[in-house]
Amino acid sequence: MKDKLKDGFTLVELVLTAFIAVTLAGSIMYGIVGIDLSINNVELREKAFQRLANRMEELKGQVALNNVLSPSSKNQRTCIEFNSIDDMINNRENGSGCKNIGYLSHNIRNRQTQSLNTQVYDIQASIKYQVKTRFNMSRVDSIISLNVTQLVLN
Amino acid sequence: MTKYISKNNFSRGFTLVEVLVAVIISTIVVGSLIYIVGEANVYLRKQMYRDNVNKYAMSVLDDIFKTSINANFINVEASSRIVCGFRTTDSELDSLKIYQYRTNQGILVNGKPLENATFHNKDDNKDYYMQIKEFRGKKTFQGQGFNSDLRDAVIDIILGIELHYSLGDIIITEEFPFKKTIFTRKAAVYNASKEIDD
Repeated sequence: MKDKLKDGFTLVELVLTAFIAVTLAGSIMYGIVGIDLSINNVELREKAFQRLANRMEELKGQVALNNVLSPSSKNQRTCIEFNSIDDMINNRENGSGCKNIGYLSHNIRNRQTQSLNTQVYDIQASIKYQVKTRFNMSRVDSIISLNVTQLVLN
Repeated sequence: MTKYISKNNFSRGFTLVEVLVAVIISTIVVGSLIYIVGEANVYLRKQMYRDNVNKYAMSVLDDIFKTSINANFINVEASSRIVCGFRTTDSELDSLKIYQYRTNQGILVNGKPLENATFHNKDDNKDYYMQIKEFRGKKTFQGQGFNSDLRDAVIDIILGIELHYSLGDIIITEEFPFKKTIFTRKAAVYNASKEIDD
């Protein structure tokens, strides 16, 4: 120890110390970026769910009032998150008005029952959107689904 | 221990170069820490502000949703106003719930601020406040191809909130658009029963 303090450190010791310091700093940065990404993805998931819930309300209305516009659809483009309030009001779903896009699918099925007074419908709806990954290197699809059974009185 | 220290460099003090290197390294480390803590603080503050806006909007939209699905009558024709009517007997409507907005007061229900929802207004908060930029209802299905019952029964509630906050000398403004679609179940049934009665 006495000699070490007098003679200084070798090149290997210095390189090793620098390597450890860089590894620690890199780990901290990696963690911070990961947390930011997780928060953004949670917010995106909430917005996607909200869009899907809105779609489900539309479908429930159509079924209940016997005015189903289309019994099924697949991958209809929709905007999950608009850039600004004006974009939402003017429904600028395409182009620069939309921050995050999703794809809605649905299927409405009339469950055959013996009842003359009621009808039972199964409504399935889902939204597909892309989850952001680290440094935007690649994007992964994520799907949220909602299933509702609706009773309609004749 | 005394013998050890007296025999090495510590007893002679440090050279100017050693002290300067130590000061530079300490400055870099402390500066980096202060920067990281400052940035983390700003980031958390921004997240807290955004979270408050989202919470307020969700409270407003949930309240309108619960009211609308139980109302016998909904009117979204008036600009920036949503009117929900109720009847407790078989007679005509006997109570109303009216949603309106004031830019700096938030959403008002029958003229009073919404309960259980905190609107951070400009008067009470200088560094950070919300403003309502847009609030209205509209029919989701408009135009040809929809029957009149469907047109009346499904509505969109549009809510736009602006968030203003200061970072140092800079005032930052962010926009938060919200939309909620509501199938007004009870009003649809009420309208249908009225048609049958007529």
